[in-house]
Amino acid sequence: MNKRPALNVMVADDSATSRTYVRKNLMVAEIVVKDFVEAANGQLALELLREQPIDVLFVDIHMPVMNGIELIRQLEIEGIKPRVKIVVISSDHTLKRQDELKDLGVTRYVKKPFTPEQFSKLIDEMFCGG
Amino acid sequence: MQPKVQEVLSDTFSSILREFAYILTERVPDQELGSAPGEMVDVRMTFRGPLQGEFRLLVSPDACREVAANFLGFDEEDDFVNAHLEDGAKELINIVGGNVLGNFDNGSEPYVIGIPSARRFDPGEWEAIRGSREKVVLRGDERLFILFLSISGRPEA
Repeated sequence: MNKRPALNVMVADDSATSRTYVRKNLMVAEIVVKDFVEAANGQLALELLREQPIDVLFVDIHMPVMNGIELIRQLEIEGIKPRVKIVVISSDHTLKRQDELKDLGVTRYVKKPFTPEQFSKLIDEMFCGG
Repeated sequence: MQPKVQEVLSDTFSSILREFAYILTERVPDQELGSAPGEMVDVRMTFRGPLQGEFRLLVSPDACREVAANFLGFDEEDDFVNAHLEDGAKELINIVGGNVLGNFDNGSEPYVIGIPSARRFDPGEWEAIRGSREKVVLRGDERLFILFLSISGRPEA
């Protein structure tokens, strides 16, 4: 397995607690983060993603203004999606929702609440060929 | 509420509190509920899909603080925890509600889950809450966690 690269990470979630929980899990999983960017809804995330190089986007589905599904669709339209690994983090884990996310080309799906071990595994799978 | 639904609610809620906030809980029967507790955070979250209705969570600020601190690995006196008590309660209802709904209909159909809203609890509602059959009450570390699930039926076509 390749060495883990340092990553630019964005988390789009309307809950400050949830955004902090993502940051804590990355830290405990010993994932090296170059830049950690937070957005409280999909619209703010989109504006930041147009400007900043982000390696991995952790995104919630249910957010005000622009939800996670709308954000992913917009990233596709604007040609941003191919350069960002998208990890959906949500408590909504119905099978149809997971199928919908697969159809949208989402890289990974993690059910809330999650653990550092899950983060460690998915980062290795996405960036280290593990 | 059907006993099976109540069991799903109770099992899901207690499991999340145990595994992610390190709080061991026990079910509290209605007859053990005394007079209205002090200050409580009152959080609600609607949902619609194969079923529609609302989750409601009542927790004391101390319970919010403990859950958020344990969840995040922070001290209970941490500034972030104390500045985001309601946000922590909203995240808790979001996680519990999403997981409960995922256990209905074998998790086959998606739900549209609303954005949680919070307000201060009105103690005048306590008698109605005590008598409500749409709730489960858990006690952990001598704090009450009251979770309601109101199902208003299947949505209009």
